[in-house]
Amino acid sequence: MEHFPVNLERYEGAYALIAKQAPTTAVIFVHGFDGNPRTTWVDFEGMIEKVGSQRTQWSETDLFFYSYNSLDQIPVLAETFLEFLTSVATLGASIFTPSDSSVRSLGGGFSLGAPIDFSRYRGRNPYKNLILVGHSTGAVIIRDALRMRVASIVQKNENLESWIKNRDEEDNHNRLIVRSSLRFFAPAHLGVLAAGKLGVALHLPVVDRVFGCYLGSNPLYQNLRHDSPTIRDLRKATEQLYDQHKLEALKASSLFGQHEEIVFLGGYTHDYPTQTEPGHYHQSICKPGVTFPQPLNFVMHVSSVSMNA
Amino acid sequence: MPDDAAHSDLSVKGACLTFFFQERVLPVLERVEKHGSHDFDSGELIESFLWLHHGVEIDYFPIADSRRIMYDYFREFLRARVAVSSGGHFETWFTPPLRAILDSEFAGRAELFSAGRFWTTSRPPSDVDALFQQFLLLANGFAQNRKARPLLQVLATASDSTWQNVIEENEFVPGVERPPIEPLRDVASPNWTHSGFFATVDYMKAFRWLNLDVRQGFPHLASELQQYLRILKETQQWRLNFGYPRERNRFLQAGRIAAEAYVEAFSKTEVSDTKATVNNFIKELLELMTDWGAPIVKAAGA
Repeated sequence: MEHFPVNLERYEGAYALIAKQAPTTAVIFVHGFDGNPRTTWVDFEGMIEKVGSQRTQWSETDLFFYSYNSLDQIPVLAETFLEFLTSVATLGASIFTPSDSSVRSLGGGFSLGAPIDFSRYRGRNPYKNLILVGHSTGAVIIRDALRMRVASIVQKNENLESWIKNRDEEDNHNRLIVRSSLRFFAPAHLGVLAAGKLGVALHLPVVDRVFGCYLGSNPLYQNLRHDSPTIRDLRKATEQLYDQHKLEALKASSLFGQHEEIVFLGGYTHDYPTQTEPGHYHQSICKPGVTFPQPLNFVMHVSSVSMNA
Repeated sequence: MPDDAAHSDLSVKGACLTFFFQERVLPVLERVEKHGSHDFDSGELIESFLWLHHGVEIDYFPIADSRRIMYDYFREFLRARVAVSSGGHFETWFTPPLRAILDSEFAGRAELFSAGRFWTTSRPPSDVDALFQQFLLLANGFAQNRKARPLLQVLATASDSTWQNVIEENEFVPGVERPPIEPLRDVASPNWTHSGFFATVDYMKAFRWLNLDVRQGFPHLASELQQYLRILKETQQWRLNFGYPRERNRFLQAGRIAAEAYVEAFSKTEVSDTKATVNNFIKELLELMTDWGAPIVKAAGA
């Protein structure tokens, strides 16, 4: 077992799988609309135990499974996610302090043996690499959070090149964030198809078609239509920022199922070429398995390419 | 250094136990302290004891600290055990192997966590801890799902008249936490159980996915491991007890009204045959329910 679970108490439903070895990389997973981290990324941690060639990379990687309630609009969700992202980028291991120490208890004073000492055997160095992985709406939340952060950095620093080369510790987390690699599964960054179209997506299991109708009845989901201001403005702002600054965190790799039925296929003008997987659809594309290791390869292989770039 | 390695190993096991305690045991204890014990809370406490038991067997949880949890909260666990029996749920919620473990462990005649072991003559395989962790994480997420929990609580413990009021009149049940209210559009008869129903189906699909993947990854599972994986499923099956007609029919009823509501909302534009779509949905749902005890042949209520 390469990783063990840790609570992230400030973020309800979120948790992390922490590497036993000193980590170099943090991967943050963000689920889609009305989803949850446990079912969306159900077999990621299991597959990590099974992969051969990438095992070393994954064993030096902490996995954060972010969670949010789909009750607010994208900018609000993105702001909260940005706070989480900053915590990971800034503090490294300290983000899991709540369960790193003694356990809360009803009567008080109850603790479970010696608390785990992260610094003793894996250090407290900040991460060297960040990989942000989003499924569906999760990708939109990530992109909006990065747009906000990059815009704020640009506003504060007239000369971005010199800021990037600067080594002052105070802003190192932001330098890490703007170098993030983006790996999206079926991202909704070009918007969702009309929800009712699911009803006639005959290749899909009926359970998924009905679930799509359920999602489509939520007005917040309709804010993700391709012509909504949220989707339109985010694309425009991100493309402008990339055009001016060429930051890696604004450029995404996207993987879709061949039978994608929820969102429009494709990416922003400057993104890496979109990839598709035969036989897969919106819900299945982000779930690796023994016969489908591609999601795992997509996250780690492509990220290693861009890290070296 | 060996000392460091031993420290790390113990610390990691302690961290796993801390995670489990905070995420799974403490919330139920807090609810019981605040609102008093209900049958459903008792079922959850018993389930958490069983997860502890299974985790200790494979050395995923450290035995000494796991025992400490039990000693510190033994009164609450014992009350839960008694409540499940007096509520008439012990035989229906827990399978014979689980009942044997509970009977033996709560009788106090042997050391805690020594009963019902699967590996008696050999050590558990080295990768079983990773498998256990995967199933545990998924089950924990389901147990604390704020949408699914209220539906399952009513499904498992409400009287027939209360259930009918929930389904037909959209009534809330006193003592059952309300799920988050979601905005809806174009849905003629929204019901608070809908979101919990879809969250449950999401879990059932994820469980099937994981289970299938494990079996593909380990095509020749040793019999002990097969039994162990089966007991992990049976440990949580009391929530989705579809071997019994009452629970099975209630879930199908909730599924049918949810499917009708949302398919109907789109029927005028995109869904051509509402009735056929709903019937096919129920067929697929029944197939998913077979993982949780529903008979493979067509069941009542379908």
